[in-house]
Amino acid sequence: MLSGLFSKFLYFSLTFAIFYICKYFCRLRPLKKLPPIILSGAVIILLLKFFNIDFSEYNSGAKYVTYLLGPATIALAYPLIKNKEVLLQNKRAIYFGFLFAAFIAIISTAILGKFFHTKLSIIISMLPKSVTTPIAVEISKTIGGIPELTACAVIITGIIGGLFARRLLKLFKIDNDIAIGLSVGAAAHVMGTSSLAERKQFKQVAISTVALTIVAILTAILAPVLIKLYLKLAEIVTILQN
Amino acid sequence: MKLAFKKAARIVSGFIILVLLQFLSEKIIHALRLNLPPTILGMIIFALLLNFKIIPIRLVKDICTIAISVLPVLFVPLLVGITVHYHLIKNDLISILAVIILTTFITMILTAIFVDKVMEWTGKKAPENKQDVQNILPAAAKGDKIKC
Repeated sequence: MLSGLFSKFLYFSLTFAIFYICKYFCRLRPLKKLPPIILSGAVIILLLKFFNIDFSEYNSGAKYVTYLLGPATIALAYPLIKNKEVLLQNKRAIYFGFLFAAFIAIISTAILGKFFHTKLSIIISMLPKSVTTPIAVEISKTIGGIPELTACAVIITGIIGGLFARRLLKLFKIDNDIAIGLSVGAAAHVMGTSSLAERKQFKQVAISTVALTIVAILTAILAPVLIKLYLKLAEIVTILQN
Repeated sequence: MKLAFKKAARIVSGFIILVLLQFLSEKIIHALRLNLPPTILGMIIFALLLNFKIIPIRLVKDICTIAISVLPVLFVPLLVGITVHYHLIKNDLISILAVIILTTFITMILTAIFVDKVMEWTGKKAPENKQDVQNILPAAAKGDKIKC
């Protein structure tokens, strides 16, 4: 449609403009609790449909937005270091908790995905869904998933986790700050953490921030290994069945 | 004026550091053929550099705050990209949603129970609770809701 540099720049700045407009509208009453990402994604999809623009055309400019994800993700190390004193207390519970959370998130997705007869490519894309979006997308690329699907799964996870975290943990009578912060950060990443921040539970928020970064790193290391194991197991099972 | 200039210089140099780290970790991953996302390696290197004060925290504070605040915008194009892959998921939307919701709950509850139990076994929970009670008392006097 439009040619060259101008259209690239247009799609690049359009992404930012729409996001900030949506962010403004998400503060208003009827749309409260709706994350701006979902609204801006929907608005852009509708705009592309309305003006009959191909996704690849849009992405020729918007891919530069995605390129910035790398350096911005590296910046996540800063809140980790800022809250590092969390790592010095209750060492055993916290370190084993991180490992346990990363394992459970991957294994439960694989098992339930199999149980619901989901396609393998979709299961693999959903594996890193408890990790914050930029890292989940990177993990998805290395393990052969579909990054776009991963991004959606992660955001849905965050919304669900953020909405129900407090009620769910109360139901199981968990009232200890470390357990709450760690489990919410590990299972529902940034969105869960911000739901804790709304309640001004600063100790929980600090642990949650650290948990979401470290669990992300652990998931990046564990996921490829576990997938190889899983595929080997599936192979053996099919051989045995025959 | 001078202050604003200094801040701008910090932001620019911080951005250069982040981009360099990304570039460096991509090269390392490529050279060693590691099965790890480059940004994760970059994050680990950055965390170590900050921890051992090789990069001063005040230099990168501004750029990190900005980067984290714009993070959500950066994955909007990915979300829009789902339209290309929609045919893959349209047949089992409900099962995908079920898997996502159930596994989120399972992960959250099991992790919370696990951490709670480990703290009980290592005996670290008792003083923790005492501290909580001390913190709660003044807040309760004000009539705030404390427990979530």
